[in-house]
Amino acid sequence: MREKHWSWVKGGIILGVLNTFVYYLGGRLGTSGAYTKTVGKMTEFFSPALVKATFLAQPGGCEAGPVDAVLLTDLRVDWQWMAVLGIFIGAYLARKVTREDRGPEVPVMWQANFGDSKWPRYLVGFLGGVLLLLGARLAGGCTSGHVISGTSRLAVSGLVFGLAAFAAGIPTALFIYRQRRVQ
Amino acid sequence: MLFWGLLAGIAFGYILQRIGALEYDNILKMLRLLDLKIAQFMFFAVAVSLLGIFTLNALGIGTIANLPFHPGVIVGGLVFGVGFGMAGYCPGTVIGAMAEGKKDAGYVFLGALTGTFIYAFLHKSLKPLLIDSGNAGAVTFDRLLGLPPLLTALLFAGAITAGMFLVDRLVPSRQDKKMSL
Repeated sequence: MREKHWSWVKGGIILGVLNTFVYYLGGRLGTSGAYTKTVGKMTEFFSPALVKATFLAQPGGCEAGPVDAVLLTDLRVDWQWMAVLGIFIGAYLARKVTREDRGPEVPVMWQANFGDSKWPRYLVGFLGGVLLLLGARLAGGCTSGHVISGTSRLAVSGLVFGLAAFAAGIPTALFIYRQRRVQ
Repeated sequence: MLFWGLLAGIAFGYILQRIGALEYDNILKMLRLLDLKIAQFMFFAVAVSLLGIFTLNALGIGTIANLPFHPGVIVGGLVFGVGFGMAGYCPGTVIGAMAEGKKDAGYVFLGALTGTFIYAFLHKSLKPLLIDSGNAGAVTFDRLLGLPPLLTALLFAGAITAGMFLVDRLVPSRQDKKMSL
């Protein structure tokens, strides 16, 4: 039988080569900044003045220099925004290629512990999503921008963000699954 | 350049799906310390990147730019971590999970847009407190340790690689845990 997923060694080498190639191109993987651009653009439709005071005051990336400069967000579609669009396409292609079935409406682990009612999962997911971006925007990046891109450029901020995320994520997951009705 | 961004993203999304990083179950297995495969994948990718990026850099190819370190990185990381444990996706993987048709990912994405909107209004008051005060700039480990960048990268890559293979030895085999949801 064919292995469903790649091993971590294989995946790690391929992502490492991609990340190096992205560096060579002068780019940088990072996702959360695209959220600021997208929500900023959506808000601009209703109130351009509001966007200027809120979204455009936020940092949106970095630029090399004697002291690396922090750039401010703008609402233009940039390299990273296109890369986020690419994630959607790439994941879609991978699923088509592997011909996996769609999977259950609620993740298997969740269902095994909390039943197959959809809304509790969707509610916890929604609230989790709110916290993800609150935290990522405050920190200036997320898993891709800080942990993958930052740590692979020896940034202290990248590794510290990763450690903080695990320091809070592990107790959260253990707390949610503290009953462990299914071991 | 925009075209290359799209291509890099497509490759990134493809890799994330093939490794299983778009699965809620795999992320929660990692955070519940049942199976660390996704963390091993991510940190090993960082080790390979360290070798690649700093070798190119030593040859004079490319420029390294980094994000600043400030208290917001720690506070934001902690808030992010709680969200990560609840959502089971990160801002990047949720995009790919939606493309796969996972419904819960759609709700996480809506939450993520909402969080971005809320943060826009908090930024002004959080900035002086958590971003401007105690801001160390884009500090890097090679500068912190006073070592040449390439040597520091080699040391980090070696330590990370050793650590990730050690995890395979220390954490009992995955076979025992196939049923432990």
